[in-house]
Amino acid sequence: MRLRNQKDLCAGLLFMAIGAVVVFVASGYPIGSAMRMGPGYFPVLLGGILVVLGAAIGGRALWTGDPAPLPPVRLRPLLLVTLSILVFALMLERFGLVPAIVATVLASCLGGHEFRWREVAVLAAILAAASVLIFHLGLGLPFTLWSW
Amino acid sequence: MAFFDNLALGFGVALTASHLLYCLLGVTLGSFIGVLPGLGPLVTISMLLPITFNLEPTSALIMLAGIYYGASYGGSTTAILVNLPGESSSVVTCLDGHAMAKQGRAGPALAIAALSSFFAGTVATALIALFAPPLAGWALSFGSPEYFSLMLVGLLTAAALAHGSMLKSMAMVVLGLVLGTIGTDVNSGLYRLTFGVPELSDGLSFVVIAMGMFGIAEIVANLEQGTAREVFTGKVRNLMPSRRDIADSWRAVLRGTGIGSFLGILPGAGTTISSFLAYAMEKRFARDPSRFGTGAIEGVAAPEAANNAAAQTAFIPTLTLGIPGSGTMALVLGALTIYGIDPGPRVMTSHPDLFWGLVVSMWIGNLMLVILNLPLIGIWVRMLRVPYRLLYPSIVVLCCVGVYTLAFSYLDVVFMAVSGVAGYVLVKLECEPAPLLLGFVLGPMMEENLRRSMVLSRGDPSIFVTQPISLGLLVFAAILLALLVVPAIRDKRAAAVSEGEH
Amino acid sequence: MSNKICRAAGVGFAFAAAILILAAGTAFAAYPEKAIRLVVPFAPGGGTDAAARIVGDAMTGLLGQQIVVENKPGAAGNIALDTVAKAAPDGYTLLLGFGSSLTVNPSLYKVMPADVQKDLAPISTLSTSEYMLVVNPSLKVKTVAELVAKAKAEPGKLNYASGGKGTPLHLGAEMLKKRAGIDMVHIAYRGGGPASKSVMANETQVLFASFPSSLPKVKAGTLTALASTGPKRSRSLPDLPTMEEAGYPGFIVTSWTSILAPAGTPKPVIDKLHAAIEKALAMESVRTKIEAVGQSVAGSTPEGLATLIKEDIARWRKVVQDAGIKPE
Repeated sequence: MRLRNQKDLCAGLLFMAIGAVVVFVASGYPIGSAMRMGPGYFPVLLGGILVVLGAAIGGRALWTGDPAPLPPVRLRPLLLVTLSILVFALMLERFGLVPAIVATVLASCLGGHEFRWREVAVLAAILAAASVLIFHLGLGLPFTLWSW
Repeated sequence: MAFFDNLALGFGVALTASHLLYCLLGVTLGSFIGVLPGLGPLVTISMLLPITFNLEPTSALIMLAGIYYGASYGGSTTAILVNLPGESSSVVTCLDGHAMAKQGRAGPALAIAALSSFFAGTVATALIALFAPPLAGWALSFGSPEYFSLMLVGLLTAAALAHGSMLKSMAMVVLGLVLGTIGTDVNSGLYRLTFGVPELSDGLSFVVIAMGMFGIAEIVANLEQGTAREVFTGKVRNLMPSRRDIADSWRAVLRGTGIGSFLGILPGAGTTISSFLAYAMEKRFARDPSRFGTGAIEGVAAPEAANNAAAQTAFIPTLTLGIPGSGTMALVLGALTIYGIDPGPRVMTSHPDLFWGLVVSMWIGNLMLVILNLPLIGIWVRMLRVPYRLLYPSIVVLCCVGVYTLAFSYLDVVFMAVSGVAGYVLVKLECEPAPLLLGFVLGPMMEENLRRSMVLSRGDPSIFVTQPISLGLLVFAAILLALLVVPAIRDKRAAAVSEGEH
Repeated sequence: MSNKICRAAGVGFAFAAAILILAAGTAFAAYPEKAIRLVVPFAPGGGTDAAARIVGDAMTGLLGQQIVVENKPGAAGNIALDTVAKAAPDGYTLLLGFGSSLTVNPSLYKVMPADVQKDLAPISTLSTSEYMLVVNPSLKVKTVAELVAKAKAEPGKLNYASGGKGTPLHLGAEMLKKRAGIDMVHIAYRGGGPASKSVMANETQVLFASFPSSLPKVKAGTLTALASTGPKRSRSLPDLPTMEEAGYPGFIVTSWTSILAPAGTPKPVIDKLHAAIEKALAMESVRTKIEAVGQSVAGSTPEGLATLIKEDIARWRKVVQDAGIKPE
């Protein structure tokens, strides 16, 4: 009841945390003065403002605020789509473009609602072929197609 | 009148069969490559530049100009259809353009984007033809203090981009400013907030963040919603804008053209800022700002007009001063010198055929873009009928490949994934990413020009008010701030009165 | 289930393999038997990238294999250096070495990803270019001596622009400050373009600018050139004295491009590449294109490039130390 606006409270805490990290890291750089600013001046200032804004957002959520409970989070799409991108990033340089695309299609399709092997295989083949055609042959970009 | 003689000369050059062909070829290639996420005008031109080496200079430049417009427009297509800002200037187009696409109005959105780009292109080309030298002089009168004040105006409009709480959008702007400080500090050469990652020494790439926060976060959100629901409504009502759409958007197109033409002249300010500002202004002065973000056609028309106008007027400092305003213009400038043409104040007199031929083919390029793209709309819209379970993995793959090609760095792909998660979390907390992106664009320029101004004035802050242009901009910023704060307070009072309504 | 996975994967790979075979052709001769990556330390656009593409194009014709330009910008060229220094020394990954990236960075950075002199095998220089000292015309100075006199009369009043800390534009001006004993304030811009604009707008007054970008402005009178920084007068402005002629012997600021391989690349491969570069640089079309982007063609032996790198590293180290710039 007291914490009706959980969204804003979380947002406020998030901004405060980021701001604090920025202030902490950037205060290691030369700060200078307002007249002659060093590289640390602007980031420290911004980090400070972020902490203040975060406090205001979170504080307001504590006092007033419309009811805004945290929305439900379904982890499966988030995790698998993110994973599919990371898989691409990690596989591309080691195994080449074609295996990376196949793996990415596989992982991202697992994040959806239905997963049909045949369809996913065809899709992976088409996307791999199209990417090779467009990016490698068509645009002449330096991709390793595969290597192991 | 000399102007018409010049124009006649230009048409004489541009309207030869081979030049028309090169123009068409450029526009077509540009459009199709620009549609791919991550491949904006800069990359497209640099890839296709060697092809043009073998052409004579006028043909080559006409083709390059065609590629430039084609690629810029191609970016808008992707933004509208799949919420992927393939390049920085099309982020704003995503906001309402993609909302329209989801309502089955991708056709009108694409058409209005093409038409307003064409209109803006026509006006901006006329500006170049008539006033290029005086406008170039004006670009020089914008020094560091003026840029700083301009960035301040830009930041104040940023808060208007979101439709949630003011505090939150301010926090998002500041977060964007913070992300913008990542990388090498120009003044001291120090690496800031790079956490020991050398790839961050040139900062995060705007396209990477935008694609993550918009494109990837959107996919996750779509997958999360419901079961086998299709994202795009099946029935596409019509492909062309209705009379009402035109009536709604023509004023926005005019304003967008004005803002874009003006900002395009300033080297460095560029198309990104102009499309953001045009959108924010529209929202600010709209009778019903709440429509924005939910598929308002003005929200597509204004930034598209601004972006294209700026893309054209960016040629002014490039051609007449020899100062490139953007990476793309630097490439064009480089191409000019490869063909043995010295860009600079004398280009109009020393190579009149080239200058006027280019001006006229800019306009013809814009015309061809419309002619080419209006029929393509039907094809693009049909693409949305592909079942989403097949469409989204394709988008993911194209994003990954496109982002990788930006700098051939796998870390950019990782950063896109991180931005996607961040975008997802922020949207869950009702913090919209658009103000963050504007902060990210403006931040580095703001800091740089602030610090530079202070060094130039030897530490005297009055430099910002003693320069007339800077003073004018600061007054404008103050007015904007007042406009921003007053309604917010009034709204709060109104909200306090009608407590418990939500 | 696993059967299906195999089939699925099989379909995908077969499809891609068909295309791959079509693409790769059937070249089984000695080196090079596949495309060669030429890693460029800057984003597309600009003189170094242009030089890479021009020479790369010509070498593609000579070697019968595609030279693929790969832009890996970042950390003033250190990221590209890192990539190539760590690549397999098989001749399929080459670095487009830019003079100041290779020779200034060792004095400017506390940590270098690789030792330029030990981890790379020099092959040949490609081109050189020089800079020119330009000032805003309203300063009403026509020679270096007049500029120095003006700066001495008003110490600390003149601003000089640069394209960022540690660029030749910055170090050139620091060298002048030291040699002439004058005081000017450094204003850093993001790249040479904005720096040159600031001089035209009289926000700053003095700049060591790259030749191709300033030449048209000097001809049009929006910038005044005082001296060039090469060992000889420039062919495009034969009346402009060099800094040495203006009374500063040894004041030479040039930048050059070169091609290097990872250390340990077999000698026959280096020789083959060197021969191809030599032939490419002798081509009339290459020469004119390189000159069009404001550089002059200049080849060298591998040993010559190694000496150049060694000398430049020592020279810049002194400038950086004299200017009191601390490594980051």
